[in-house]
Amino acid sequence: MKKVLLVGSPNSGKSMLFNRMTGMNQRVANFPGITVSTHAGMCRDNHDLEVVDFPGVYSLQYISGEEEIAVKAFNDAVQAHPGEIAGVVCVVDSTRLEKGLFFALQVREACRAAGHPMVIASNMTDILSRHNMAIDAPGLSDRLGVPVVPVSARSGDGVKALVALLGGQIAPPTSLLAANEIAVDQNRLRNLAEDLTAEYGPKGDYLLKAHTKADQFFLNTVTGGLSFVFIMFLLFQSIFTWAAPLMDGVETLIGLAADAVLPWFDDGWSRDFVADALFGGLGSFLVFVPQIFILTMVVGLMEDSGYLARAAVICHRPLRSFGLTGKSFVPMLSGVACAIPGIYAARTIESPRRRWLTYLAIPLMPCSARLPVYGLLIAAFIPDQTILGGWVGLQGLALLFIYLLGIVAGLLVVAVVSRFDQAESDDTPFVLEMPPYRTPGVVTLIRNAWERSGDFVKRAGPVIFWVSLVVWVLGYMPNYGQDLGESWLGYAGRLIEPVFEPLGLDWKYGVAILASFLAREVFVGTLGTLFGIEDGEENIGSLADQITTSGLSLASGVAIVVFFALASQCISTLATLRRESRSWRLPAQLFVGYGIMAYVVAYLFYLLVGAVA
Amino acid sequence: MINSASSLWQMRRGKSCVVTGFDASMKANIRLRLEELGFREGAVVTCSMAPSLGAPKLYQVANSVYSLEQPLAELVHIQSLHA
Repeated sequence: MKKVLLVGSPNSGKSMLFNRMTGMNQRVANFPGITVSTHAGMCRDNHDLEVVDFPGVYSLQYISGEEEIAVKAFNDAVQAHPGEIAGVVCVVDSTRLEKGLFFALQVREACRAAGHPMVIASNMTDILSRHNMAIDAPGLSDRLGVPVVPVSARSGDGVKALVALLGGQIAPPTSLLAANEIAVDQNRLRNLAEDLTAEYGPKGDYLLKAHTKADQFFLNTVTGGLSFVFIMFLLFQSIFTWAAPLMDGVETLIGLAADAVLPWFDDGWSRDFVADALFGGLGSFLVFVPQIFILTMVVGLMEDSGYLARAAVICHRPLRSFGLTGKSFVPMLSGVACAIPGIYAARTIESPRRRWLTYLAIPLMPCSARLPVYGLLIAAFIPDQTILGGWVGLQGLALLFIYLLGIVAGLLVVAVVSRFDQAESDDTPFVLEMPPYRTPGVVTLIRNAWERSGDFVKRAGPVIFWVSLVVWVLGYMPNYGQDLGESWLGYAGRLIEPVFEPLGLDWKYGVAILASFLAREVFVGTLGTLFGIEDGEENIGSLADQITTSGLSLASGVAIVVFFALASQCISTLATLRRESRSWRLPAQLFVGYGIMAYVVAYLFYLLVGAVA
Repeated sequence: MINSASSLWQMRRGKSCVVTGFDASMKANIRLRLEELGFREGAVVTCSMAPSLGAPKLYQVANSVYSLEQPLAELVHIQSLHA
């Protein structure tokens, strides 16, 4: 099997082309630096080809550790014997040809030296043709001595032609581009890229003018600030308002499934297990998956439209005052969906110090694993009502405040730590390429949100199932569910009860919180199982009602929310931090430090709300 | 027509300039990256957006737009162009 190496500048559309060629669903977004590691997959239309997607770099001369990894990976790959590589495909954004060609010329030189064939995939030609523009692909191809194939990774135009070309024999570039060419002279390459763009590139600057007009709105002091606040507000409102019908649907489905399945079982432990652990534990968690779907879809909408880079510019100055950078915004926002991609996204921050500070903030971002916990407690304590003429839902507003709590806590922690650690020697300044505004593809958005939600369920589902099983067995035995308080779990729970008693929580909540240290969302499933055993009836899908009738006070509910907002309970996040920081020190410090902070602040909120309510 | 000398940060929205050099205090790797992006001596740069409150400004070089923060843009020397 021959390899096809996909390389290019950040945000040139490599990963989307990779997805087109392989049929895989590598994460793509309209923001530079989304791909942070190499990925490989078999070509869908030619099984003799293996496509390898490399992270985007501006140049083969790296300036940061992450670029060094990407460039070295490429240099290692081109060490292969001639014939092992079907082609090095350099993807260039046709709407920003000069930048892409500068990198393509470097790649051409590397291929010429190693004797590998090279193809330039001139991507995003659909955008050009929409404005009656085009590049002179045959002319450019003749000039460079490498095939230039116009493609649109988004629509799929030209991709079959590219694969067909790679399946045949392509001659490696052999000639120098000009007499006395000094390949390593970056200025010469840049001049050449400029000349080639002027001769063969699209004519006119209509696209840039259109983007500048949009920037004048989204980056204006007044309209930019207001639109940023409005978009963030919309994000949190949508999680409740748009997800509500879907959540009702899932809840109904689970109820129908329970009605259909439970009659198959005779009264006894097997029926109790299915009712309490499966429908009560796992089912309670599944109800909240639509919220995760909506969250990832709205974040994806911001990424694909090109707005995210503008938000990074807006946030740079405020984040800088906390010791972060505008580039921290994207990892932090990704952290709102899940901390793990957020931590990976922090690789795009060239400054090691600001990247490290961003690592401190990400675990405090209100990730989607916290959402089921927040959703449950909001449903239990906040009425489903609207204010301001029906425009603002109280539950969405409450969620916004909870999210703000995590974000503010993250910023404060970073501000305090950066005050103590003033090392600025290795700092890298803020330079961010503005991606063009694009209309997001609805199908791609829905597919990405569907897959990310599915991944979340696949990752969390087994953990929740096993925890629910263990919790159910411990809570069911030795008296077969007759008295939860006298079960093995009841005895264990009362041992740890003193730890949670100051927050007004009984042992059941203590057990659920302890179980959540495996994964936050386990809290909901555990509580569902416990209430299921206690109630001794098939009360599926009304966990919020069960919490309300259990006598949990508002102050204790707030304490749980605050604890979950601040504690760093996710094992996957800690393991990812260890991998990225190459040490257990940072995750251990975060686990202990944030755990203590969460408990103390939750206690203070418990006292405060208890005094006011 | 080439006019007064100043830094990239001092440019106002819609104005163009020619890059004339870099401050000696700029690190070599940062200078290299800026040059790769197109901020080379002799390159024409247009300030396409200058948000207030110290937010990074947007600069158009060739067919790309980049956002540069104040401490960095101040190290790029320019000559303003007046039509």
